[in-house]
Amino acid sequence: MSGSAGAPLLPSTAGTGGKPGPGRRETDGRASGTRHLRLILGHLHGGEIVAALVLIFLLVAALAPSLLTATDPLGIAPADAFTPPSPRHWFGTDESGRDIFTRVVYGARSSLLIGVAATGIGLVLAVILGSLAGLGPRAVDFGVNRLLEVLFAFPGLLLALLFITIFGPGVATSTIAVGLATAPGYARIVRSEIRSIRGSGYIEAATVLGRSPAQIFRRHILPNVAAGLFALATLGVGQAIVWAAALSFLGLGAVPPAAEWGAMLSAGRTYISVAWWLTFFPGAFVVLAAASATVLGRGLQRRNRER
Amino acid sequence: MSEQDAVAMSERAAVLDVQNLRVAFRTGRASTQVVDGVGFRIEPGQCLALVGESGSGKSVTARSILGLAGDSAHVSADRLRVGSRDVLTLGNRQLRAMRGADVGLVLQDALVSLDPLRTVGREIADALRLHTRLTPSERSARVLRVLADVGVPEPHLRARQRSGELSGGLRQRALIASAIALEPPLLIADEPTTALDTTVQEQILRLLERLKSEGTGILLISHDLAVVGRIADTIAVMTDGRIVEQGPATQVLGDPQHEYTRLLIRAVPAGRPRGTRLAPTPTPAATAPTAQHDRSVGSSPKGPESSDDTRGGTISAPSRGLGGAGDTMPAGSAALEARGLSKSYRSPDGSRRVVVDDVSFVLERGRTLGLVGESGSGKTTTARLALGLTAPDAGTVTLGGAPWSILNERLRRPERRRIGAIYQDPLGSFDPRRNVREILADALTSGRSASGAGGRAALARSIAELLDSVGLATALADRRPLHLSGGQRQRVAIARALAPDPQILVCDEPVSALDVSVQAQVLDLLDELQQERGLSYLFISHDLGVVQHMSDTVAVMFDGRIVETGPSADVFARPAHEYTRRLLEAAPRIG
Repeated sequence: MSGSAGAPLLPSTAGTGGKPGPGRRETDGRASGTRHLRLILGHLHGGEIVAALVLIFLLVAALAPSLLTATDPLGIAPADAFTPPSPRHWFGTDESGRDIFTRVVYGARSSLLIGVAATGIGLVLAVILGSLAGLGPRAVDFGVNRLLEVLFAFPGLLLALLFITIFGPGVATSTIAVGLATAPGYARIVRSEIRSIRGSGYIEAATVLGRSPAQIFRRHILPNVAAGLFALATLGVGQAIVWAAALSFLGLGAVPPAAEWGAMLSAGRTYISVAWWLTFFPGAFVVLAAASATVLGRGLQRRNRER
Repeated sequence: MSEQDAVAMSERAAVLDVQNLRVAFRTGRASTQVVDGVGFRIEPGQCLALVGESGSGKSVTARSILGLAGDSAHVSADRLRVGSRDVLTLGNRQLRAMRGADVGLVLQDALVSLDPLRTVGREIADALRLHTRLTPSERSARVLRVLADVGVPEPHLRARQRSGELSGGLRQRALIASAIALEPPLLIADEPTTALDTTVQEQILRLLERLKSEGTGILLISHDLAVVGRIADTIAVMTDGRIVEQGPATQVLGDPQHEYTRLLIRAVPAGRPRGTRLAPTPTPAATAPTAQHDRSVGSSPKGPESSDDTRGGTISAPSRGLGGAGDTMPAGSAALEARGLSKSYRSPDGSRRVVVDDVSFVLERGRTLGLVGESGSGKTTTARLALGLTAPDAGTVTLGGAPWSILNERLRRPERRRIGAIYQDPLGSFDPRRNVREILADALTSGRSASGAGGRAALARSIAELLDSVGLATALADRRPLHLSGGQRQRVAIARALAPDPQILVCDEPVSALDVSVQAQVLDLLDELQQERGLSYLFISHDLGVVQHMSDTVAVMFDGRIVETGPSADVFARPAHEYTRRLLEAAPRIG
């Protein structure tokens, strides 16, 4: 595997690098990024292709929902209430006659946004905390570790609930809350990665070459931590989507008339015995989104290990 | 008498008989022939050494004999007999019965070969439990006897320890003990002394010698001709899956017939005077043809930032080399001087352990100081002190007469380009995300990016020159070190160390992980570079032969102290200190 994964590197480097040599200097970060992407997209298989298609669909839904449906997600049509799935309403309609397919499509935006933003917040916090612990003096490491242990003692969702209780419900607060809740896990990983990188030969080699700690951190430590973290973050997005939906379901995130999967689940719950489609489709999409992110994340992780 | 019995009669003498052994590995649809028609015979009390470099197929041969070649291997042979058993016809159960009872196996790394969670005694007793009907008390008695047999002191104590608690030598003995517990007529030893210190290696070789004299047949697998020469009766030289030469040890070593054997013997540095080439051709086949080698190298590649600034306190004068390195001083003046260096670390139990104790030495400009000693003698800590990576508890290091070890790191950083380092594990010293070009560019530009078309063109030229000066093709620049061979990696490491145009290189076991012929090429390269650039080397190695070949001056380290120092020729010819004598006696050599 490593051989076949390495092989396409060479032509693609020559291709993206243009004239080989000095031109690469300034762009090496980006160049290795595109190389990475090609490597990933070139070797998807089976479930990963399905997962990628689902995520692409969700991405389109999030960015340009009007491409997928012409109906208004909030448009009420009381006469059409509780229509079961049919050619006209693929996923049926809800208690106010709103088209569920449309609402699911529009809901993708807030779900993905919360998932990605929360993971991003979690990662940024984690890199800061993890770097402090991994590089700082022993006392700082000790302090950060105790803090992380305290955070670990609470289940993540409980931590998010605590935050929302203090700052009030809403999409923004629930995003931050989920981000906060995921940070400790990532921070632990960042810390241990940094510890092992710090002791590695290439850090010593860079020191011998006269590099300052800031340069070493920016050019060697951070990129090497990021490689592993990227795969993990993809896994985390799926988790964050589920948590965000859970918070909305509890009425602490997006509020009912808004098209959001968790909120739709919550609203449909009342009618679950008479109109299963109100809850089934948003629920199915939460599962699909989370599963797709997880499948892709696992694939990335595996490739990372093999390299 | 049946036909089979007749065969058994005629072959009774051999404990191992291999004829036309072929092993191929299948990966996907492709199949690689790894062992191609290998044959040899071992009789009781005989030792056959299979010598070859990594990838020659020697370990696969050993594995095939034990039926351990793996599922993807296709093994065939005209004959493959261990004692009276035909290995190829045996099922898994019979193979298991054979291993341990008929063949013992000793591997290179005893630390991984022994279960870290089980005591040494249990490890050995297991073999007895599986293969004999001894009672537990008989078993433990036998374990103690075997441990005593292989020369483990206080066997009743050691048997209750785990492998991690034992020293390297004891661990290797314990492993041998578990291999011979059932008194197998055949012992396969795959690089049994490779990871060991010289004096420990000597003990293990003596143990193998004794087993041999007691009638055990030994298949010894090694890359080290000198080790093999000590105990082998017959030597088979293997390369590319074939045995190219086989014969009595004295004949193969003394009068090698095959070109490859001669190359291997020539590559051994022990006893070869300083300055003689070890590898046959100046430019090895694996590397690129280099145009106007000498001149282009002499002008020494420089990054856009580096210029010929002469620092205060140093004298500018032509050096021994052709090139004009930044700061030059007449040969003979001190490039690096250590005075009274001491360093201790706190052990887990709170006591302080002195690792480097009052070490002083002078590395003269354009010369090589060899630092030789066994593991734990403080060599690497001394290297770190010289590089300014660790602060000494006492003593000072000066660089070309200017303070070095007492400098604040902030002040030392801009001066770091004067002293470079290469390591035993070059792969670990490269950022895994970078290719060769990026690694060298980073070293050339002090971490800043080159600006402007002119700067970039100069950088590309410098990279090409650097690669050329270490004998690598420019085409390798786009590869990552992971996809290079061991020798190529070390060349890249040397190129990187040369990038800031240093005057001193600290080489910490630079060739210990390399095959003999590759080692020879790298040593030749270091020699060439020294002459061209007037570099000074602090050359650290546990290998006496390598140090002798490379050094002008030698310092012998033992227990954190330098016990003897002097011109290389004197120290090796007339060792003054007891420890040096012991080291020299223990070092195996050819002839």
